[in-house]
Amino acid sequence: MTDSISLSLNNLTVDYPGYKGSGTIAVKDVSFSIEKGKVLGLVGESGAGKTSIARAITRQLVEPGEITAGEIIFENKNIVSMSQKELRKYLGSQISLIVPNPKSELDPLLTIGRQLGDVVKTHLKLNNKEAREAVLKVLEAVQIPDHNSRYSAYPHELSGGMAQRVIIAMSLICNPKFVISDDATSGLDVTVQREIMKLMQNIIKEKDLSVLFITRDIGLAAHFCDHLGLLFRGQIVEIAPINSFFKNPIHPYSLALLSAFSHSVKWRKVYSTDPQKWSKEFFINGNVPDSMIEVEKGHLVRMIR
Amino acid sequence: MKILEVNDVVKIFKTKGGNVRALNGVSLDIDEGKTVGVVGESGSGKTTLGRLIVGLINPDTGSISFEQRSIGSKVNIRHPDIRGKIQLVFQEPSESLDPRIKVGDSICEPLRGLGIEKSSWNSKLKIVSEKVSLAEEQLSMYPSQLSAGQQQRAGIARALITDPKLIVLDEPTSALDPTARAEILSMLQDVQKEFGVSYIYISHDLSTVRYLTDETAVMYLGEIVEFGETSKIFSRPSHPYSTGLLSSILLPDPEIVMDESLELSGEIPSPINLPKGCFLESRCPISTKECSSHHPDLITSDDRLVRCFEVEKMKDIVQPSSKFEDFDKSFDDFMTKRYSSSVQAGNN
Amino acid sequence: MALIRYIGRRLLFVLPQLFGIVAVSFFLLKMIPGDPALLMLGPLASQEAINEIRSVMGLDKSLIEQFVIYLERVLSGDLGTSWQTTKPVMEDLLKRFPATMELVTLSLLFALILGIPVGILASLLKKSIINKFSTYYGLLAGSLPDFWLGLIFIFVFYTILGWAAAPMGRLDLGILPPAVVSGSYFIDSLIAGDWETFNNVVAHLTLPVLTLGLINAGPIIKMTQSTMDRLLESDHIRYARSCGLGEFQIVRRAFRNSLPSVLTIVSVLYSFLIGGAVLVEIVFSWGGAGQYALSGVLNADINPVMGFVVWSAVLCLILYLIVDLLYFAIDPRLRD
Ligand SMILES: Nc1ncnc2c1ncn2[C@@H]1O[C@H](COP(=O)(O)OP(=O)(O)OP(=O)(O)O)[C@@H](O)[C@H]1O
Ligand SMILES: Nc1ncnc2c1ncn2[C@@H]1O[C@H](COP(=O)(O)OP(=O)(O)O)[C@@H](O)[C@H]1O
Ligand code: SF4
Ligand SMILES: [Mg+2]
Ligand SMILES: [Mg+2]
Repeated sequence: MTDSISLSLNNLTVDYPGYKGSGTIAVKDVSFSIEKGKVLGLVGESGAGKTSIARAITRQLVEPGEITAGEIIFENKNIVSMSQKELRKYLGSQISLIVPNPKSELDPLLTIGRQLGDVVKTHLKLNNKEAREAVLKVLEAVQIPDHNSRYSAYPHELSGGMAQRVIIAMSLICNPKFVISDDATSGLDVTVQREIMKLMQNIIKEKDLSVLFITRDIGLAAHFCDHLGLLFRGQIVEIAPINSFFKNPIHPYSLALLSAFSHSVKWRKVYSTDPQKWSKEFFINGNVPDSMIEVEKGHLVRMIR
Repeated sequence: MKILEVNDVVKIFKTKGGNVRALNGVSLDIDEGKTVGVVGESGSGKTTLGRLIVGLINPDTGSISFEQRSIGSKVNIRHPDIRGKIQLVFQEPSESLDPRIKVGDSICEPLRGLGIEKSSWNSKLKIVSEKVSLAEEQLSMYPSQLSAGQQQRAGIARALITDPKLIVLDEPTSALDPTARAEILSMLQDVQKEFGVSYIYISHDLSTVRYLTDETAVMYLGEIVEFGETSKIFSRPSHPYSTGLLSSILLPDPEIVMDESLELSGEIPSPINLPKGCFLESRCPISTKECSSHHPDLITSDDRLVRCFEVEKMKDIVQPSSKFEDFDKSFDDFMTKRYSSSVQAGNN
Repeated sequence: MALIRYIGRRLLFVLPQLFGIVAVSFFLLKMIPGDPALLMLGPLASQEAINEIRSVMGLDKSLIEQFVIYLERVLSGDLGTSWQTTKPVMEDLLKRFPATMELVTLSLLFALILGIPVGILASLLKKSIINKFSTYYGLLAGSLPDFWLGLIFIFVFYTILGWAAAPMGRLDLGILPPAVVSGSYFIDSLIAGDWETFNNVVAHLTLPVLTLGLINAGPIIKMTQSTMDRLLESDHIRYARSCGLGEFQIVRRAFRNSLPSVLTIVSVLYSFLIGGAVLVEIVFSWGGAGQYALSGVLNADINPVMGFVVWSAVLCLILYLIVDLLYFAIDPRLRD
């Protein structure tokens, strides 16, 4: 493990046993690593397993979900085998999470100042006054207008964009090294999304954060990430540095997704999201292959040669 | 021929917090067989406009006529003269399907109201379900057994089965994944070609609007701020809001850089206390004094209607952009090359 | 500000609500067969005497007239007299309601102190004994009649073991009640600093409070557990967890969010028990308001019954107002 890697997944598998009879393997054998200061985009359609990966990393899988195989290495420590107590030290302070639907993710009964304050107090052992200062500072950093009075606002008093900024503030307040953003802007209007993305981009650069950026929008990922992984039914089918990915997408699923964006009927007919229609190097004997082939430096495709 | 005319409609909802001005004088025409797109942020009044058009709610002032016949509380989609001619497709696919009724029966449901003989239902069902590519076995399933995309197809089939003249599509694809979305849109296009139906396509997803519509109305806080041919608006928007909206679209190609000539800040204000001047004033980067004291009218500017005092200045600020065409073309080039090589590889 | 307007609006509705309750119960009671005059004088009374009593009691007037007269009296604070006790109903109830309220309040406090921790623990420790315990407890408490449990307690703790005070009211015969401040002996003896009386009061309270408390802890446990179950799986609690907050903070947040549901169940139990504790009151000869109203019903003594209805309606309305204010205090979303 080199020191330039912030977080890596090695063959992570997440299972929801007993669900729909035999159980769903939501995430299968996923491996990637995120370099320090870089953004890895993870794109996939609904149900592809994106949130399951995010929750596996924070070990917050919804019942009955469990990590059945693989490791999650953060700064040379395996998160999967950590005790709850040890894990708690990392969550919110070193590894933080930005979630979608900010309004349902904040406690409706507590002011945002209190919620942010609780997090710094827990991790940085600040007293009330110091915590308040830290909160005000981070609210300002995420450009919440009028942050002094917003300190005592309740979540329901915020617009969607503001609430999303609060969530971002929450993820930044303890100066984490690694941030997971799960579909962070999907509920926002495009103009607001753009403002938020700019803010995140600046903060990432300024703080040299490493980021796992999960989204359904491959257009967003194209402009925001350094690397891009494409998730299909719980498996990564193509992963590459951003330029390599868009210059030379190989996997039929990648091509189908891009065709959907160009609204090209012609190409959508050629490249389908249905594995049955893929050629046999990508889908054989009713399965996607276990092997990933490196087609360029750092550009892996799930196929057989 | 005009199939629908919306004339200066105003709709105000009275709520506990105050009067919500959802629509503040919207006019819109649509020709037979054409598609008009209505775009704008959430809360801009798109759904309200759609519901007015199908007569589910009444305008406070202004009028709406369908085939020269006025629509309102007495004459709405359920009225015998109009029944079946206007249809509405909801944003949430599940909204138009009863979870306890088989999909095929749900699709046929509107025929009951029209008094059409049961014997002909099956043949109609066959036609529309083929049109929206629903397989026969899916018709005898329950909605929960279908994917979101398939549910939306069923919703559209249900709208189509009465042979409507006009379908109001209220964000029919926003709950769907990109690939399902693209499939639904091309299906809608095929249907239009075949049946000559008109669409009002409500969406906040501009890339789909560009693909599907002939004309576009950009709405902001219950007003149309720009109206014109879709291709013209997309290549060179004239209103600061449309410009901001368009430049926020990110195409999946890192080389197409984001246009930063004009950026909106902040969020849509509350429709309860509308500003006196231009509604966009709080977010507009080029606003002047006049903008905060006077409300601009929708005026003709070259090939379109624009509601902004600074139209002339906008012509200098906003350069024609071809990012969509560029993306389409470079993608097409790439795919052509890739396809021919892969076909060759396949042959070898 | 919004709060004051809200209270104002609530109070506006109080009078019509009270009127409705009083009217409905008045006419319903009049439909109970049995002539009070006859019951008072006994079967051997002469028709004349009966007629006289009837006219004194206003029973010869039409129902509507009787109702109007009754309303006028109630408004001037007069609830009539009970022919059984021959005292003004107001006076009787002023003694008896505090007895009931004391019993019910302490029982529910006990139920809360028992129910909330058990509910929380049962929710937190899914596979533990306490989770099973809570399940069986809910079943048992729901199926046992409270008066029966009271009788068992008396049998075991008084008759056999002799640990408990005699189930004969609120105080031993030899002990004088404390000076009246609130009407609750528990509070008043504390105020007076009279420890001997206080100990005696507590001794008499123990078994009935235990009885009602144990029975009513059932629904409180169930409610606490099920809302905590839901909340611990909710988005914002999961998010708080992924922010690394400690388990104590998490439980505190979840519990705070479950307070409205717990409050709801407590307010329902409370308003039910004002009249619903009657069987337990009888078992312990408590002399509470429910007992008083019941003997009114059985003897066609209408004034005590109506007095009880008016009193409980007022108490419930006050209770619901307090509960609403508590909702306000807990949940900022309700404030505007
Ligand atoms: N609590 C659960 N119980 C059982 N199966 C689950 C549960 N949560 C997720 N799954 C399954 O796991 C798979 C991956 O789900 P996940 O939520 O990770 O997808 P996602 O990529 O985040 O989708 P979206 O874009 O809709 O958020 C899906 O097949 C889903 O049905
Ligand atoms: N039934 C209603 N009662 C009160 N306000 C409403 C109602 N329907 C819509 N509104 C308000 O009218 C405005 C426009 O809403 P809508 O037409 O749904 O916008 P859009 O579809 O563009 O998001 C919003 O501010 C919304 O809150
Ligand atoms: S009128 Fe003024 S504020 Fe409104 S859009 Fe034009 S320039 Fe901006
Ligand atoms: Mg997800
Ligand atoms: Mg809408």
